[in-house]
Amino acid sequence: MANKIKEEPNHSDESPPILGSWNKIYFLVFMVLIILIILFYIFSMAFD
Amino acid sequence: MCSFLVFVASYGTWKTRKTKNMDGYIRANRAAPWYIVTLSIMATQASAITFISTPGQAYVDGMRFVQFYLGLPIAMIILSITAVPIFHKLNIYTAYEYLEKRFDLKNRILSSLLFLTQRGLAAGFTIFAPALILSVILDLNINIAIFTMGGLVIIYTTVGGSVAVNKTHIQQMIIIMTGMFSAFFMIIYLLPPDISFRDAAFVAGKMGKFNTIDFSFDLENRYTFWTGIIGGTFLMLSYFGTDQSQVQRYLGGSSITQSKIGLLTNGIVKIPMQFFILFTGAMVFVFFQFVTPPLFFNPVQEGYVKSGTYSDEYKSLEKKYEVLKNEKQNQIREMLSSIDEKKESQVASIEKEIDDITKEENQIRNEAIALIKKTNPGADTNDTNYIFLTFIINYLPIGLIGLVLAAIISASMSSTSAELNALASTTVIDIYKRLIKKDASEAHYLKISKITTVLWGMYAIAFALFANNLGTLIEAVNILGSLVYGTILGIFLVAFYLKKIQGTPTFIAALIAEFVVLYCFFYTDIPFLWFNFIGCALVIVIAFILNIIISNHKIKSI
Repeated sequence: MANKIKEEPNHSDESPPILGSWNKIYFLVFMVLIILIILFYIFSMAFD
Repeated sequence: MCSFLVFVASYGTWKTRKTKNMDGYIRANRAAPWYIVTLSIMATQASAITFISTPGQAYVDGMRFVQFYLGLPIAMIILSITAVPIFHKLNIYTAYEYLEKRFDLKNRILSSLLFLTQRGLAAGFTIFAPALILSVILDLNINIAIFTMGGLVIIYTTVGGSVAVNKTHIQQMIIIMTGMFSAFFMIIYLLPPDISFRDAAFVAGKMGKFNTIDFSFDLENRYTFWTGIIGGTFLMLSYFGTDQSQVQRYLGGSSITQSKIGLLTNGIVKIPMQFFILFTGAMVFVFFQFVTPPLFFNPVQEGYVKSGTYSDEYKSLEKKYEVLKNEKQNQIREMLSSIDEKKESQVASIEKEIDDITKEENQIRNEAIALIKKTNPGADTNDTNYIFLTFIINYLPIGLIGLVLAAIISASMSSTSAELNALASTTVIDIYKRLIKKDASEAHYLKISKITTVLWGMYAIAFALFANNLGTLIEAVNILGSLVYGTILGIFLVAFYLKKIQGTPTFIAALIAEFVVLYCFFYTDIPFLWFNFIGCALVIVIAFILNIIISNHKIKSI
């Protein structure tokens, strides 16, 4: 028998503190990753 | 440095001595705002291994290790969408409680045991790394250093639990960042007067240390863009989504929003931080092009050979090494002049000469290592972990040495405390409370949590005593994680996304996947980052197939 776990009310639809939606925040994080990869590549090429 | 050690342990113990319930001991009362979640996540992951071994990794192998972290932001996004809301909603204390609700008890126990096995050993590594520092600086027996470091962390983690971990993480991160920035600026300051920061960057770049992004498809290459994005994503998903030492950090968030923002901020900040640490290692490399480094960076082993039978031979090798280093310095200065004058063909020609000198240097180092082995057959011939230490101890001013060492030891304490807290939580919640004593009082479980914290601390100390023979620390820790993370992640991904797959097919699939990963580790040359992907993929595929077979069998039986 599964152990009983007391569930809390679902708050997963809270808005984020900035940008208005979580999808925009995720997009921002993803874009930061892309920018870092590009910067690292330029950095590698610049001093090679 | 010693004052800091004692201060943090005392502060953590005193401020949290009133932790009186399991919610405080395991989830820090779920009161942490996002920036505490971020700091705590970073402090947990950034152990002393990060600061000792990573600069050495860059010195030896270049900065390509940064690719290991490219999957992190992607993993943080996925976890924010899936794991965080589920874990918060279920009001759980450990990640593995969720698996019983979704599947059954055996999946919960299997995942718990895989976590306990791996994390218990990893905690040994994180105690060993700063003990190494103390033994080198204070000329202490390393075993005494291991007992001292481990003992201090056990004290405040046992007394205060997760609250103590969070409170001490703040001070530790401040010291860590201050120490690392100080070390970096000192390296640049200590370069010869005619070598600018730009010159240093060109030296590192031309000598292959700025290999940060490698787009090649080479399955035998440990660190490429592809192993980082694919294997790294799976490793980070597993580490942050299923390893209780990290799950516990964001379970302490005061809301789903705070936990999500904490995770996502970590995803943004971590890669530049690792880049900076690797870059520091590359600058140490440049520094040692203008100052002759020791032939072998482990001062203890070098001391043995210099006072032994092969002393004269070793010293002769040191003289040859010095001559080569001086020749190389001249070539490097000529190369920099040619770069300034934009004489590209001349630069290429000098680069070739520098490469040839480097090969001769490596030959001399190999001969030196052979002498070390002859003097002490049991000696560890990998000195990567001592490179940054050697620079700190021999070239930084006294005050800064203490600060940087305090930073490194802070990092170790922050990781070890989180690990011990997580090990105790999983042991009590998933094993003891679930299987052995189900209806005891809160006070009883709190007492058992403290006892298990001490026991796991002692276990970690025991393994630390063994860790000396396991090569570059940063790689060893991540290899160990990759042996189980893929399987655990596979179980969780099936749980989150493949709702029709039941517990028994998942359990069998996990056992098979783990067997295959271990086989790959012992009998193949597959780079370890792929183990995460292999383990995870196998669990999903085999569970899917078995679920169909078992479902069909049940239908036929009916």
